[in-house]
Amino acid sequence: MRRSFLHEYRYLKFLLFIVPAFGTWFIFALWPNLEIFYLAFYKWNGISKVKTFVGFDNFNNLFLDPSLPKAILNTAFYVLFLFMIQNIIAVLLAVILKRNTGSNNFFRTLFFSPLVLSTVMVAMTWGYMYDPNLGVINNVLGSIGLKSLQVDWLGASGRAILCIVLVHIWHNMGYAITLILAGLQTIPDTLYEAADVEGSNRVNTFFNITLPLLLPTLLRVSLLTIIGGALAFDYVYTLGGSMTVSEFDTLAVYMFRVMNYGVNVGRPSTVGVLIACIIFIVFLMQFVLTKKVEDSYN
Amino acid sequence: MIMKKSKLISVLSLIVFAFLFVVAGCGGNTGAADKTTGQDQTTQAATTQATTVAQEPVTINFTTFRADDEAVMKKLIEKFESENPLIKINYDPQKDSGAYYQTLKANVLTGEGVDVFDIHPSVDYASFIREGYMADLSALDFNGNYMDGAKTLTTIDGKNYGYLNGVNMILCFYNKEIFKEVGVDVPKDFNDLVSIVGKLKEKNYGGIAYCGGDVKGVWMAAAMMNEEGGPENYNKYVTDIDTGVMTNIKDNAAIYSAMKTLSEINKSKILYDNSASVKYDQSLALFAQKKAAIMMMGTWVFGTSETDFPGIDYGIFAFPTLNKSNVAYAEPAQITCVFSKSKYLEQAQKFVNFLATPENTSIYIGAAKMTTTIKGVNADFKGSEMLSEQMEKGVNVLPIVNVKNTDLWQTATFTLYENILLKGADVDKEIASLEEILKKADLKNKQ
Repeated sequence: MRRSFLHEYRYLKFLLFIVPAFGTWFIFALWPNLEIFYLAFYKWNGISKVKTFVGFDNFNNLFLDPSLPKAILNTAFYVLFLFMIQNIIAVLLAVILKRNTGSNNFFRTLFFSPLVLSTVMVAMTWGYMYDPNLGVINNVLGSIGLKSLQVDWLGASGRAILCIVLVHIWHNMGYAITLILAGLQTIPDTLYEAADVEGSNRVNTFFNITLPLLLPTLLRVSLLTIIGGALAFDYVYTLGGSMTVSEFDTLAVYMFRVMNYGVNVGRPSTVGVLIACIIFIVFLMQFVLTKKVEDSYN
Repeated sequence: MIMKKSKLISVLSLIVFAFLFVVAGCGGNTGAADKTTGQDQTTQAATTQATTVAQEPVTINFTTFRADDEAVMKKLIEKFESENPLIKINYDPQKDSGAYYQTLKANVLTGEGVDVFDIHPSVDYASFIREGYMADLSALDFNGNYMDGAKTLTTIDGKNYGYLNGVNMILCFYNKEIFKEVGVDVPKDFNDLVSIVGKLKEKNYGGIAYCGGDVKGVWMAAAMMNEEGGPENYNKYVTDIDTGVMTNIKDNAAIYSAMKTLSEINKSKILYDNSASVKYDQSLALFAQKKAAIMMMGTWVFGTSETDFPGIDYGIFAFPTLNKSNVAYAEPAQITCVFSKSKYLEQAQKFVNFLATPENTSIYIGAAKMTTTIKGVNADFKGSEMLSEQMEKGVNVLPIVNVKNTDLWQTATFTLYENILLKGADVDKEIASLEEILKKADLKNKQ
């Protein structure tokens, strides 16, 4: 009887083992994030013992703020540039670097190495490079006779977003390549051998074998890219203005700026709710799409 | 049997989650309305009998965001502790002001871990007073030596809640050597400044280095508005916006004139190229590398001039507006305050009083290179004579404005200044656009 009880309820001990870790994560990571859904309906200065319930007032004020549409647009551009440029380059590089040769290993390490640097340090360094007056990019262009290409890289909104995305890609390319390389390893070599025998060239092989079988991995990488872009903060904040709203602030940076005004914690909470909703919708779409792709392969 | 087991697991899981919810909820704000006003709490704290003189050493916590002052502050603390053996200071400087305020706010909410703290002269100062977290320092001895202007700044509703450590002027630094080479002198007025910059540009010395990449139009706008109309007028402007009273910005002539000055600065192209993207460090570099003969900067750099722009013989002058010359603009530095719920109120107040004596202020100002707010202080550092000279010509200090709705209008005003100064937008159109935003925000009903 006793043995049967222990055997039947052995799952309880597994549950008990994960409770401390889960509890810590819940209290210090998940709960504070969930609290924004509560604070979004209150006006609170962060130091008062009184929170005033204001209903949807914070949301109304958010949508009246003329900076919000700009922040949403900047975020959309950021995600679009990041998604297209990073994923295309990462796939091409991963295919080229797939084989385990000495030079491939060297280049894999080279592409991965920027990841060990801190984000702020990378952004600050690129900020100095992008400086329109003293930066190395404009100085090099001037010295090789391309003065017409000397521009204020972070001056115009669209160009600034693209420049910041390039910094993001430079820093994180190694991570995307690693994930796609892992996906490539799951494609059996026999398929490539069969394609060789059939006389398929590299381009046909890529589009008809590699890409379709890589699709599930690409969808996952895409989701990470989209979330990373939607929550882009470090690069944008460091390269943008530190004191006040900048023309190319993304939603995450906009949320931080609003928080800095310090008079109402409810306002940045509404931005947090908005970001969470957008990401949740993207996650759902990706989930449905991945399921459909995986089902089609099955 | 299987049904029973899964039910048991479900029930146990629910108990675990419920426990976690309860634990997560513990210690948070209950949200229960506390009808005691901030003022009442302050009065209560102020009238609380001073803690009995400690028979054994007490330790008070002093926290600040001014990590740059660590060396001089440690010296002053050592001096204080030698004069007051029963009081120890636990000094905690934090360089990251974002993290500093998060910690400070958490400490004041819990009532623990802070006795003396520094605060920016911003909306936070007024918020902390409203919530009753600041002790009234009106009765302390230092008020006798405290300059009237500084006292006005830190006094709210007739009570002084802080000691303003100093002020930093934001004005133009100029390279004396380049000025001599080009044959120009300190500008007498705005038109003179435009002419001087033109001559400097002819000799490839660029325009005025301005860190628009970081501060956008805010610094220049604040300087112009305060120089033009003075702190009281600026206070009125900001308060009128916050309370929804402001409907036509042009009615405030000084503010409108300041906006016109911003527009003229853009049209005259006297700022360095691409100022909208020049960061703080880069504006210093332009001045240090002699690519710009003039730089708009705060006088806090007096303390770091040997590293920021070594070998440059510099002078200062106030940035002239269209109507005013020679009057400079200054921003208040940190305000040292006492936590009203401190267990060692008397000791904390004693420490603040100590910091604000002429002798100790001289030590601090000499290291921090600021303009003092205490009478009878002998400032002896490179640049102090320049500061004294400018003080005599006139300085308008940015006031602390007691506002509650900055989240509803501040971005729009910053955008106004940026668009006029850095993008050359039309003043009247931008003002009309701002007024439209303010109207939609309905600030009158948000009090």
